[in-house]
Amino acid sequence: MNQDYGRFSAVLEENIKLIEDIFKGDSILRKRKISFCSGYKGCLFYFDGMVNVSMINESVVRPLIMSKDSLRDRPVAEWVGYELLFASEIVLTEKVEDTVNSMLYGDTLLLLEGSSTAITINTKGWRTRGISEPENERVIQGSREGFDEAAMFNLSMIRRRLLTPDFCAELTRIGRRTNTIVFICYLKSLVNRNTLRELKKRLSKINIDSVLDSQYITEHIRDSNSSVFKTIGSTERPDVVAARLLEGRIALVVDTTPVVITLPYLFSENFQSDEDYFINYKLASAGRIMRIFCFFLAISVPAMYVALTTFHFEFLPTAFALTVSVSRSGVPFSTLAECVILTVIFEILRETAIRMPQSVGQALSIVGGLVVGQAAVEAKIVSAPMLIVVALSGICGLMVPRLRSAVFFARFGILFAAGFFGIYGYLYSIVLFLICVLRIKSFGIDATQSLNSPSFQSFKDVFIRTSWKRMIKRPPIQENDIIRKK
Amino acid sequence: MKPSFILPVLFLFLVGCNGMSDPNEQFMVSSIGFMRTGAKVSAFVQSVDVKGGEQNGIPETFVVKGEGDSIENAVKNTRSKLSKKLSLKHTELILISDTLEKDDLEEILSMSEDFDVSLRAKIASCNDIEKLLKNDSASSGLGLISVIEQNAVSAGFGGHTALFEIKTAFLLGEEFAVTYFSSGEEIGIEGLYYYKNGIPTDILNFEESIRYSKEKNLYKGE
Repeated sequence: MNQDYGRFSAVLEENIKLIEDIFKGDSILRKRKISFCSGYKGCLFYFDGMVNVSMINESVVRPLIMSKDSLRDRPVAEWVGYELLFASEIVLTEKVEDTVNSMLYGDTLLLLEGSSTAITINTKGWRTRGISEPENERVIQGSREGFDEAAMFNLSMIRRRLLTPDFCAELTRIGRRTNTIVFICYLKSLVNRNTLRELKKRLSKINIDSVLDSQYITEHIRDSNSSVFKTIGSTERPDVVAARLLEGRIALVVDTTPVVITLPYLFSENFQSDEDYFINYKLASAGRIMRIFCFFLAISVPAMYVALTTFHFEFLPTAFALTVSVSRSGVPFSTLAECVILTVIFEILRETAIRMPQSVGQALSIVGGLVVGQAAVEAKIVSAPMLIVVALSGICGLMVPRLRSAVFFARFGILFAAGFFGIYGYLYSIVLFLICVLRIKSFGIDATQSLNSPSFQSFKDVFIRTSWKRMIKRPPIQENDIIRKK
Repeated sequence: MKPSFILPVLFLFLVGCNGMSDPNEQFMVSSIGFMRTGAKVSAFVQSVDVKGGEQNGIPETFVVKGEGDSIENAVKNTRSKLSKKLSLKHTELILISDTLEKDDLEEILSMSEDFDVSLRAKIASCNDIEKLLKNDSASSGLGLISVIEQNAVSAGFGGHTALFEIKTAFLLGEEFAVTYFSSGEEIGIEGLYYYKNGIPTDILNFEESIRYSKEKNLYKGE
């Protein structure tokens, strides 16, 4: 919520009172009056914890106190700012609003007697979590660096990987009250200008009071809010962001969150692992095919089981049909209800295990998965084959974490269709599901481009990951410089 | 809801896929047998006892008998005793007694269509069906089938044992022969029962059965 506080006056006491009034009641605002060069007066303002105090002492306080210089024929603010201070970055401004914003982001404000120009000095120095490997994107080979919550720090990690003046990071602020800093990053020669224009348009339309995480922005700028599919990517890894920028995509680095948004997002990215590009391409391709297969198993297995056992029992081999019959005996619920209940229980266990501390989570998995499962089968609350079916579906779903919400909703949708209409219901719902997949758009680009207009080149990083030697073109996201390898 | 979603749902109802039935609501028949005594027809239904125990990992079975003046009524009476749907989708064996008439056999074949019995289901003949099925209690009909298959390997002869073979023979008005089980305490095979024009005509001993099998290219021995 930006306010226009007007401009500073030339009277130091008035300016001090103005700043104190703006931050009235704020206990972490620090003020330090200072006299320098025999007769000049000034006052420093900064927020404790946001600044590097030793930097203030060395770059601001010490040079001012130690200086024996005297004002020559120039304004006092310019003299102090350009000749006395040791700071690497200073900004002279008369607008109160600018200085307030800078202070809030870790700068120090220096007000001077007889000057209506204030000096903001870059003394940012808050503590960060530091570089650590992202929990959700662990790799065996490859970089271990992960983003932390400081946007500047994150930008430095991206820039270290893209040592080119082509890299551009535009600053914008979103959130009426939080004024969250967001950097729009892209490579100038590769970015799709239409996508960039569209992104800026959507960002400018965001009118929310706070942005505390990148998800706030994601939900505002995505193509369809009702879609269960991801249409905007996210990562905590700088190497992934760099790779996506090199494909002509755009990244949004949001301050206070380690999750960086990337867009446009292709459907095939759901099956890609960060590690695919660091290991042997044949192994990576096998892993990718397995992930696609597991995705279909995750949404299909419970539905197929329910359809076959309740509508098309004759399709099952006799020995298996006998096993199902025997194990179903005494179970009080219908097959469909049993499947729904078990799937919900699985989701509860999974959700609980994620939220728990790691040691408790593991114990919970064992108790939930083995002990309760075994007891439930023995107590004839559920049947053993159903337990296997739901567990298989659940485990397969974990193979594609980026499609978590799609798997969750599709699994239930297809299950109910199969439960009420048998194999026809299953097939219809799968066809509907595929239609929905083919209709996904991300910033005006078909997320399933390689399927809609198939070509050998476009498949090279979709179902499989070919060797870098053969990956000649970039994904068809941008129009410029499509050739990756010459 | 959009019309594009309504259409598939309507179509789903029209395709007739509405026979939902849980496995435990069905009575899974592993073998079924028919016998005529005068004007009465008896149907014997053998099923896995899903609530019962197991013997050497094989679930126990039980046999239910129903009587009526026709095959259809006999089966209906069996169903009424069970209070569950009869599921013949996994029936592996259909036993027919030599007392059944041609019309009875035709009714059995038509009933097998109504109940979606697999065309690969085996057909065999026996004098005392109830006794045979009860002796097979620990092997759920599959034991009798393994006896038929073992006989085909050891003795070499095999009749027209699959349901589709009998149906074809009936359609073409051809003769056929089915495996004939002995009625003793031990489950064994006496030979083939020879049917001419759908009427049980003669029991062939081992040598005759082998000769018949060779003539019809059904011989499985060396």
